Amino acid sequence: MAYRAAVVGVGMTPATSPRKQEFSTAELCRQAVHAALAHCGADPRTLDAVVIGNIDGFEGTVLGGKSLTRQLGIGPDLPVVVLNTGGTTGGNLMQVAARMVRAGTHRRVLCVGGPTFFGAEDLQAAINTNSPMIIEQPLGMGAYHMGAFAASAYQARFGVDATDLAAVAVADHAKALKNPNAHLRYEVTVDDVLAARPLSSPLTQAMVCPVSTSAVAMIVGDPDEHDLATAPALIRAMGTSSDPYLGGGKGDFSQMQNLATLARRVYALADVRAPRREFDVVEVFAPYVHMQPMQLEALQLAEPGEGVALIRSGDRVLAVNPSGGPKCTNAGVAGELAPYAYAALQVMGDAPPELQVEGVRKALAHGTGGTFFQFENLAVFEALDSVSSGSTS
Amino acid sequence: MTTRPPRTGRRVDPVHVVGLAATPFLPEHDAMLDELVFAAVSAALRECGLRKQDAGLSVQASMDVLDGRSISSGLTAMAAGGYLADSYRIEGDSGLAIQAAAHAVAAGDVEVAIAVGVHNPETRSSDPVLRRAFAEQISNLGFEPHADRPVGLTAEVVYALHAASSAANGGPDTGVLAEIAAAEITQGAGRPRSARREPVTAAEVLGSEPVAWPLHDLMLPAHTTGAVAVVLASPARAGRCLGRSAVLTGFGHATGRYTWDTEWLTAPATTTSRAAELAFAAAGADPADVGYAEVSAPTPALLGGYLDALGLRGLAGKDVNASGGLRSAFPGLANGALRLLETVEELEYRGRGSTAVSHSVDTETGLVSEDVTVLIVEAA
Repeated sequence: MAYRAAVVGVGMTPATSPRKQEFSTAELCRQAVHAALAHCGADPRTLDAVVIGNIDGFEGTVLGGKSLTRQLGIGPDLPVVVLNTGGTTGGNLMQVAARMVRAGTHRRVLCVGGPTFFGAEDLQAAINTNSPMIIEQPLGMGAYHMGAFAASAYQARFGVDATDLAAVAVADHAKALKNPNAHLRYEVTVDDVLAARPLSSPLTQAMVCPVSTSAVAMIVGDPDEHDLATAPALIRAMGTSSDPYLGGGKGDFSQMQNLATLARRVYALADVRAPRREFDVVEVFAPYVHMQPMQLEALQLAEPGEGVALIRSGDRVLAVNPSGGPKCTNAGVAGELAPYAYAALQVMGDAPPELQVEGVRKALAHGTGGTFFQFENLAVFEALDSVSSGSTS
Repeated sequence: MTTRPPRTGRRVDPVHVVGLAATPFLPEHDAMLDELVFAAVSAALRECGLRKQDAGLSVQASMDVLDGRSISSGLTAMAAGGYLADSYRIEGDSGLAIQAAAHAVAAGDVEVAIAVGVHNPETRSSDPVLRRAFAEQISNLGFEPHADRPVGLTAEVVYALHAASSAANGGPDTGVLAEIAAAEITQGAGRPRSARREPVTAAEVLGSEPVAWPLHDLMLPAHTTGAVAVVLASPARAGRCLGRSAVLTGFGHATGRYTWDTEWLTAPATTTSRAAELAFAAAGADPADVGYAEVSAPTPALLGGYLDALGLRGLAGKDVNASGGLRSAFPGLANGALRLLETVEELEYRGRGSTAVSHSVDTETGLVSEDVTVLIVEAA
């Protein structure tokens, strides 16, 4: 227990639709991995393991990471751990890697998130197989149907209307327009969002994420080894939390109690007492528009029912999803790792210049997924010179 | 390109095994995955006097395609102790889940962690032939899709190619393979977890169904289903626990090369060698210290090579796979946890100060990209 863990390198590819993508999964992952290595100046021979995410039912293959990892140009012998927790897979990659480093058995671990949805023909049918099998599966429930439960409950409880939800999409598109790696880089209006194809009330197609292709890689290492070019983003605290997979286990769809509980736990570990003031940047995984305000409320960044107002305000104290978030770019495991990658890059001062927030010291990254979004994960990143050394190595 | 040597000199903090329990092993369980996970985890916690709320992390091992649903950990996370708590799922052998849980304890992040492996494929058939065909189909899907999958590579094909190649190059011939298999099955025949309860002769092994030359059915793992749960604790927390008294002093993981490198065919034990090197270095131990080993050799042709790679060729027959090894019971991805259970029970019999090795492999793509975990276990 003598070691600390930090994000020391990040690489990602620009995203686009599966139809327009010119590179294969292996090529995208290879580009992201070598971008991460180049970012920090690490030699691939200094890697001790790879943690890679696969969501088999979505990918048309099984344990694809096993062969994919051997096509990355990082050697034939690295130990490979394949992780699959649905939408939290990406964030959990970093958490598993961090524990390897913190235990002292590994010095440097590579996380790889690929384009999970590349080639999938019917994602909603695949997602349907993880829903409860007595009622929801036969009814054809897919991901955005699950999402709509919470959207409706949130509307009913706080008087949020469709215009409010559309405003979240408008804000996300405005941010993604600046992000060179985003998929949907165009502005939309509230009217555009409301006029889009209805999916599952109250959600329209413009309120849910696209199917993107890209890859994200991250190197987690011991920040007390000083042989790299980057200023590490210390992983100050992290955690995951699970709800039951039955929707009834949530108790109340209008608030994210599971995330709120996790936030309290992670904030205590990181000694975060005033999150709205202490975080400079927050990247949440909100593929559907209603999720972002609800998450901000659960994370104590907005009062209950005030999440939309915070997003509309364009708060200059706290930057929320400057990347544009998964609403504008969602490439499966790559999209889930992206909030962690962007938050770490902000702390390192290495985010794309169009996105970099000045003077970031502390950032929060979030992921969610599973049936009815039952899984949550969080991590707090901190600039290394903001904290005293915790290493006794 | 080669990776750099392991972190020799960096010892890992010891992690105690305080709870270890399994469901019964059956050809097919008439139970949902979460029911099996709950049964194993509850029993493991009960024997060490802990509750689910005491666990800081739960790591599951399973695979969606075997479980018949996407994100199957969504179903099992609660039963594994993940409700409003840290948990995640590894798609691989439960030996990896044990190591991930051990990392969290060794890192000081949690005081108690659970690892659980579950295996009950959704085949809708109790016919062993159809169940094997299903496993082979899943295995084929695990291979690289452009070159390897179309030529029909599966785990059993890979094992047979290796056994044949080995025999052609001076390794054990079919008769010797049969003798090794018969000895293992007979050794484990009287044990309650064995799927093969009757002693067999080499002639009976050779008389069993041919699978892929030179392998016969009784030379291959005895497929069974069930769940196995392990409760790990820090040394201080273990001091306040009932239950088992074993310590993981070192652990290592390695993954084999892919098909375009011939190592899987000509030197498959190299992966085990790399995992063992990491584990012994983390434990600060030497193979000479080891008095017992559970070795996961999917075919008899691999057993000798794995023992060499572990540095344990000198162990007597009674000191290797007293359980009968994979020839007696192989619960898929729960294998790593079952091997640890067999190891710890053997250490309990041998007494304090004994050291053992628990070796596990995944068989999803046979020797190709084989995941190997090695645990160094001491009786406390």
